[in-house]
Amino acid sequence: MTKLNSSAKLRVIAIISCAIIIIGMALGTVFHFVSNGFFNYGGEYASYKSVTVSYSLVEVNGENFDVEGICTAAFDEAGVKYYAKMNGSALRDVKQVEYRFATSENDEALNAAVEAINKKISEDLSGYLNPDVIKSVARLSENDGLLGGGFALWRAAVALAVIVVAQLIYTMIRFRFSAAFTAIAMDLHNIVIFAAVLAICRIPVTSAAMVFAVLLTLVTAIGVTFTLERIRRNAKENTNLSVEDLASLSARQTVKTNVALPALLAVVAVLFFVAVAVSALSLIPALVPMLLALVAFAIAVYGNVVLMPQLYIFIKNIGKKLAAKPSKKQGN
Amino acid sequence: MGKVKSAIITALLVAAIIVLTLFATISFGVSGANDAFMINIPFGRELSGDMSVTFYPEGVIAEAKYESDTYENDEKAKEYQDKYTYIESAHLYVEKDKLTETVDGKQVDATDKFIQSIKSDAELLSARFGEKGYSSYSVAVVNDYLIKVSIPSTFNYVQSQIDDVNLRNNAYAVASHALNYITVEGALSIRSESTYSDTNALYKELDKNNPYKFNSFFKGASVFQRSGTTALKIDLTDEGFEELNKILTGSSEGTAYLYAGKTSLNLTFTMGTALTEKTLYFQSARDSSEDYAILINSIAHGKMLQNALSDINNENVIMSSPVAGKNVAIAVGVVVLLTVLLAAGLPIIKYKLLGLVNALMVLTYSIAMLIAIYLIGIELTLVGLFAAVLGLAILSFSNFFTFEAVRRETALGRTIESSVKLGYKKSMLGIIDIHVILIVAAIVMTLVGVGELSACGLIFLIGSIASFALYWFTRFMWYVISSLSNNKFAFCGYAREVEEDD
Repeated sequence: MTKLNSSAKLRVIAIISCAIIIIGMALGTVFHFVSNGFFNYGGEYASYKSVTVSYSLVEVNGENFDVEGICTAAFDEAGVKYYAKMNGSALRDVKQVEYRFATSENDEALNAAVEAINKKISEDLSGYLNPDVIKSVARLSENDGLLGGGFALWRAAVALAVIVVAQLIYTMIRFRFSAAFTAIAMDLHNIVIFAAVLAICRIPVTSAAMVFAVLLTLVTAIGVTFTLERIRRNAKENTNLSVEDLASLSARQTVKTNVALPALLAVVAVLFFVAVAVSALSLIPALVPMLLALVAFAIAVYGNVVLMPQLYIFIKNIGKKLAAKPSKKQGN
Repeated sequence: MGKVKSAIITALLVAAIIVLTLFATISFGVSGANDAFMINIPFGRELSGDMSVTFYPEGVIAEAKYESDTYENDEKAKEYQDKYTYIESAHLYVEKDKLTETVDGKQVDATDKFIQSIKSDAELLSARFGEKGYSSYSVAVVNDYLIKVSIPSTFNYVQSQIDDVNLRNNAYAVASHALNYITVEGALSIRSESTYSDTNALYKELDKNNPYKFNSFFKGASVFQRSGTTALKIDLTDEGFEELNKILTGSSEGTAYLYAGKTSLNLTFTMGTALTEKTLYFQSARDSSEDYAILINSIAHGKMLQNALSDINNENVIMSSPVAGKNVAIAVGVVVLLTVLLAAGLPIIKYKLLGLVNALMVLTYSIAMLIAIYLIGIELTLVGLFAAVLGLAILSFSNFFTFEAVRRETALGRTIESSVKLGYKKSMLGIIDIHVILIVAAIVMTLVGVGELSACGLIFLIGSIASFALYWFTRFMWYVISSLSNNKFAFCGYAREVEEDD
């Protein structure tokens, strides 16, 4: 097989990255119109339909008043499926159970379930409570969570932007302009790929997604800085090496570190969240952060190991061409 | 270093770790003694559940309330029938006045405008609660007309395990204060009575072009904390200082009350006493001071809610248990403990006694992190704990990175002393790079982010600083503990390069 030169390699990588970004943008746009939004917003930012049942009696004829049993039977009957259940209580004898449904769930079916719940509770409690109180126990509502969550998302985006700028400045001080441009391009590339993968895979975007976007930027920054430092050291030791050879040699020397750090973090994430899921006997708290961690650290490896050296060569060559232009003019 | 000296230093470090671990985990049954501090750390939403309130904007009432108010009361029923419109999709009654407005003498539909005002209020509330520093919170619009706010219960371990009203009273009081005061609508005013009335304002807003001039007298508010004293600090503008002094010296006796909308903020001034400074202090608990500061800052910067929201009470604050069940906290605790033990134990296999030095650093990191989280009062969340574990991973990575650099030097036939020196020298720039990047990013996350991002940023900041400090402490302890060993290569688990005889 013919060995690809640097610019051909960059072209191949650019095609792969662009394909991921375009697919992400396209799917996100489609989902924006047909589903909950560009991303699958979850957690604090989730929009959902909910059926909430408020009740105060916990025992009927000496037996537990099985509100949850009544609800699940009604949901099964109506053919609707909830994705989360929240149990709550107020200080004054009011208990509440909230079932959350996707916004795409059918309103008619949900209303039928609500009616069935209310009817069943009325029958079970007839003679116990004022019928006017019973009448209002189950309610269907629609929650728009993204509206309030927009502020937190906006602040997270600002934080991410400030971190990228801070890295640009740090890299400029530590290295040179071309290195700083490589660093900022890598950050932007990895963040956009992360967003595209979230849009494609429909991994719920929660506040944890913001944390992992920042972690991705950090791992990218660390990997890029390691490679740039190695390039500088190699340039000092081998002054006759071309930019291509220098970048390739440095990339080979730092590949272990650039894979080891994200891999270590990914392994820690998997062990941590799998153990949490096993211990809590529930996938709910652990699955989303684990997926986010895996996606973030996989993108960090792809970016730092595959793209970074080629991008550095590309930017360095542009810098050389620009620097050569004035001298040509002078020569003329 | 002499063997005795090194043994003493090692023993002191181990003793310090053991004592701090005991304080963290064991409650001493002595009168007046504090509990183990680990169980007093507040938990975030995933570990302790949340408290939520559904607020009804003024002019919107629940179907149940409508029916109970009009039950067997024909006069009231007639009044409500004229006053309210039923919104079937939301099971609510809304005042007709809210849904119509007069334009050029004609009544036009204003439903969209009312709904939009509720959405704007939700966005503003999200910004206000974002300033509170919760590890997570949500503000959602429910059925177009209601606003649901959820904040973490912030129960500690005991409160999260025992579902008892009295045990949870303190956390409830703190949360309900925040829910009550951060959601207050209206402008700031100063009044002569503790109960609101239209006529008791001491500063009359007369400027039609600037109907909320009193708001502009406040530069900002913040929480003041020094040596155990907590207070709300309010900074006045020059004009505010003069105007407030005019009001306070205008009467010789009585009390003036600061209000936001129709709500008294429990901040009082003594009439007849002039202010001497443009900075005012009102002593109150930290949480209350935070709530007032957020509210005053928001209003002083012209950000007021458009709708008054319903009050909260013992019936409408719903405390939800964690989604994954109440045992999730103990499960996560076990996982973190196992992670720490793995991080401490596994390197011993590869690096022998040098791995033990690393284990001491891992334990020091863990206990330092625990103490910092407790003292600062950071809410623990799942991702926050993961951030703490990542700090540990960075410390381990930094140490292994350097251990390998030292191993490479020993492979060249150098002595341990010179290999350590060169290994640390060669890896120093990389380690500094990692930590500078992490610390800068953690500061940005803490200061710019809100909610979980900010909480994780703070944990990451502590973790990064601890990791950097302990990285250098590892070198010191390597030197100290290795003094006890005669074979330095065996101590580190390195193979010795034997020089061949000629």
